Amino acid sequence: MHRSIALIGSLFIAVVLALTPLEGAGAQADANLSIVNAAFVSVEDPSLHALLERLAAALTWHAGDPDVLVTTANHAVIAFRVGEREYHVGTVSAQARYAPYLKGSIPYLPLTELLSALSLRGFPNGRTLLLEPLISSLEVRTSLQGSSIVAQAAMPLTPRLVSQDDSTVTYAFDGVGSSVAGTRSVDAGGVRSVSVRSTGTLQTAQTLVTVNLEPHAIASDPQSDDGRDFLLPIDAQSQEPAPAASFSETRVTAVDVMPASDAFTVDVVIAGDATYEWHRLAAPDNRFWIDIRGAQLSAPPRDDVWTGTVTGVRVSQQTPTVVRIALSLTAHDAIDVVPSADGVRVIIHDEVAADAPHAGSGSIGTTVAATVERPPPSPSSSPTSLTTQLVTPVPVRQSYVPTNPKLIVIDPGHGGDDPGTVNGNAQEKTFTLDIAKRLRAVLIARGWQVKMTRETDTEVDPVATTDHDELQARDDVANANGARIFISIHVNAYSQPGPNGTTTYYSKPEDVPLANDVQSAIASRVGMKDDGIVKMHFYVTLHARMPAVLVETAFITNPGDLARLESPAWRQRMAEAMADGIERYARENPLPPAPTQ
Amino acid sequence: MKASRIVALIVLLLVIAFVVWYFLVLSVPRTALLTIYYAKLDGTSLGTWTISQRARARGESSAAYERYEAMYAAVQNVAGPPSETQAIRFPTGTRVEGVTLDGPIANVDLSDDVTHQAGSFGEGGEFKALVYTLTALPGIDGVQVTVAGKRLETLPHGNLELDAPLHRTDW
Repeated sequence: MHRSIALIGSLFIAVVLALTPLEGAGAQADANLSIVNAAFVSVEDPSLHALLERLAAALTWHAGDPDVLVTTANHAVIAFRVGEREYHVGTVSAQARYAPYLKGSIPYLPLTELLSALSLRGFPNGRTLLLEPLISSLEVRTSLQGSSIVAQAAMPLTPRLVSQDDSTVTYAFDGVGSSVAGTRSVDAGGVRSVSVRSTGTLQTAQTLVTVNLEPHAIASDPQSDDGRDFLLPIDAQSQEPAPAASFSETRVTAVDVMPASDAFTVDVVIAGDATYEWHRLAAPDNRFWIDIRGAQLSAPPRDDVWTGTVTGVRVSQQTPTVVRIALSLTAHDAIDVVPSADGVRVIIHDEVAADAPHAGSGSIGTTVAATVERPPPSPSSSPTSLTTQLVTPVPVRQSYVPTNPKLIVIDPGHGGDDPGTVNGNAQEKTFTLDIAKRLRAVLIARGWQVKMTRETDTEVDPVATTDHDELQARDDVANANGARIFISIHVNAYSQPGPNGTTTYYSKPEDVPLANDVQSAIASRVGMKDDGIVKMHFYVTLHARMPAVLVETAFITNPGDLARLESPAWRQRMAEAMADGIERYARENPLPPAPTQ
Repeated sequence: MKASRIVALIVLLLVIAFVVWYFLVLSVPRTALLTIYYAKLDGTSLGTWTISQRARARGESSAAYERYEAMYAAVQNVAGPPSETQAIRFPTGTRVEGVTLDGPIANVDLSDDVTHQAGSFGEGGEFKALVYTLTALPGIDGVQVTVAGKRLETLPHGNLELDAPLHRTDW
């Protein structure tokens, strides 16, 4: 069964090193990576701080505090407390041989446990301890699409492809040892097994990771965008017919709980195809559970206690092939169970539903479907919709009356010394000004009056000394002129190239209709990925007295989006779509008639 | 008669002392669990992960423990979820310089590294997750962010307003 997985289409093995950038690739074991050789180390020891800096780690401690927190580059937090042998590393607690102690007012930490938590191995060299970074964990994750091998180490290093034949591919990690040596069988996701072997001395340390592949898989060199994530594409040249999807590969990878004032949401993130079935008990016993069938729980089991609408959340592997998420409710609240982008979402509304469905089922993955079963209607019950409105209509504040109802203020983001987001030679301030000018032309042609916060590459308030003053100056243009609408144009960015699409941000309730109309016009006309409207505590939208939105048109850091931003035709379509959205808003939200003389 | 009353009183006091000691010390769990939020790469939804933390130490005041809990939650949040989790993360190098509690407001001081970013996507997700994480703790309903010890009106190079505490309702 597992072998057949390799025969489905293309196969990727992602070798993800949770590491931070290092000067130079393939760094050798660094003899300079060292620390004072002692049983304990002071939190103020310069060699400790130098070491942490090399590891891209950080130490948090304040004078007088008995607690010391160390954040590693692998996103784990190591927590020590003076006088306590128990310490925590990420989600794990452990016992140190000796407890940290105070000397004067300075905490001293047990060095062996600290180095181990940092994935380092020490070699005494007189009064110094030379340190070897270790691969401390190597996790194999399989799915229908392939496998991922996630390795974590103390130092960022670059894997090299050192050998390859029809059935194996081997990578070398220079300058790093391993605490996870050995071979493990996988037999899933196109990978038969993975073996880890360390060789050499401290100065010549090397760890070899060999992946034994299913037949017909062809590997190529590892790829990396930023020195942190390494992608090894393996093309599985299948010569056998693709098998049917197997439930045995399906994983429940996360169960995310999001309480809010009006609804309690549980997101079940599922990798692969699965069916689900949910049930609830009648009041006064308000328990609810959903079974994900044909799935393995790869997220940690949990048994959380909450207060409010939901008092308990339990996640467990109920049977070898069923993952159960059970909720304890305080009332017979309305519940929606809907397929989501990456699994299934359970929404518990803070409102009692007398005739709510008592069971339902569905499937997710390749085929998405959902059905619900309602209890027999009681004579007194009134018909209700099967679908619950997920977005509560927002009351719109009507206090603002524009003194110039035909005026639209357009704010091209950034400008002057502030380029905004940047990617190579591409600058946000240039794109925003160009789109703003195009939008102005379209709106004027349609009979609107337009004022721009800036028309050239300059700050709106050249004498502003703070970002706040510059942002307020943009709002002042709209507020002082009694505009009907304020629209701020921006270009998004992120540290990774993946995120893309258009988002319209808003802050006030009265912004919502405008945000909806502008975003939907862009989504339908420009063909961008629709990232939706998002409420955010943004200065320019908060302090504009009129309905206001901030449109992040595209991501300058995404290659596809950047190509669009650089296209004049695309920028023209974006401007026209914004104008469409503004006009639709104005049409659907007419101003009250002016008082007669 | 009088001696027996004294003995009974002593026994009663010992029982009371034992009960108080039991509930203050022995009944305290060795570890507690914290829920930490992160923003997913869709830019809008949140995920969580659970971490263990030390329980309240013997003799530690509730105020000191609550401050530690807030500090621990903030440090975990800024460190972010495990590497394999796709999440919006604070700029590299961002660290928590300090956390204090002022009634229902947690004051979180971040290092200047947090300003080394641009774009609404990152700043929105990072601060949303930070606020959700800290306001999940009992008694905290807002987060006042400072940068390198200074209270800012807006996030430099960004759009987020920071001159007042952030609440869950801001998202």
